[in-house]
Amino acid sequence: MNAFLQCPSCNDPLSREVVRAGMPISCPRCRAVFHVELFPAADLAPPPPQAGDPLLHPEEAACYHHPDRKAAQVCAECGRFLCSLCALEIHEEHYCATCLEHKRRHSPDPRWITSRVIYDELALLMAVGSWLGLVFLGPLALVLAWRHRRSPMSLTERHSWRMPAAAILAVLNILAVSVLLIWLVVHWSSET
Amino acid sequence: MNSPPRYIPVGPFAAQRGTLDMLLPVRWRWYRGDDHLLLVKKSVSREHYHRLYYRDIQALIWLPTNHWIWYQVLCWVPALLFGIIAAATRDRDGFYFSGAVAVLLALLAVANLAQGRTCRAFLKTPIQQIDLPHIHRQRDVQRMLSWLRPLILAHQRPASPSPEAPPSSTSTPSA
Repeated sequence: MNAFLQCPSCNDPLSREVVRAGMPISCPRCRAVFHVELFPAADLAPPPPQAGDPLLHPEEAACYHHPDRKAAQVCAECGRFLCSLCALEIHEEHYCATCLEHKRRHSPDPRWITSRVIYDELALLMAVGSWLGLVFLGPLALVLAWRHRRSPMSLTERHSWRMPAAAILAVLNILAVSVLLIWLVVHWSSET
Repeated sequence: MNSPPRYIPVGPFAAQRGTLDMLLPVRWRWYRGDDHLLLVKKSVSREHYHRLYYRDIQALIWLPTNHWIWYQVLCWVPALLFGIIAAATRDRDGFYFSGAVAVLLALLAVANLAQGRTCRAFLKTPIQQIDLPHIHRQRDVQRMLSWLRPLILAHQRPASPSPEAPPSSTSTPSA
């Protein structure tokens, strides 16, 4: 049976024939009833696997990784010839696996980013924590806000108010704690 | 293209963005992009991004669950108990305290009932079936479908015939 989807209750594979648009589906194995909203892509056939065409004449350009396969694309990054097996199409450009991995790790393009540390949120949480009694977090928040003042924020964030707010809160907290400590020392020394 | 793409928050928690949202150590949120959905999972200090392109989404699956019934039981049973205690007690303070707790629990139960029935939702692409842990209610699924369906259909519309294509020979001549 060609599995189209998994039962959301028991993960049993279900074929496309079982799924009818607009009708609740009952899993033949666990009898769980669930609903499916289908979209046109559900009925598109998957693209056939490509192994690369064989090299017919020695004059033809060969794949860098497979000398017996005909080159079909050029890597947009390093310029190596690639057969259709090696060429990876991402964002309408073709890359070899090495360049793709390098680009994924080092590219500033937001489309390649898969995770990011959100320093601004972290610094603000630490600054707020410093005002809730955890005074050691104040200097840490300030250091974090300064070190990562130019670090990119969350992909979904458009306003950069958190980092300045964290720095201001941290500075105020450090000042408040310093004044309190000085007052305590002066008060203690005047008493003795 | 290095300019950051514009993302519009969508889903049941869209309105909470930027308020107390950042206090949650783990959260799932999603955003609408030009050609894809961005699923953002925050775990403590790091955000992980999953992109689901509209052209690849094959189906939305939802499984109704009985969790809403358990919520009702968990709210109404103690509410009734506190109500009975409030009715039975002769102490005035005890009456007010038990009555207030009973009313609060009853309000929680009604609010939960108003949110609708619970479910688990999944998005299916050709190679994966992604759990959507932040969709708990069937009403949220219907809301999601109302804005997601047009976007998906717009990106999966079959290609129109080429203008250079010759006219079909089977067309009926006008009388």
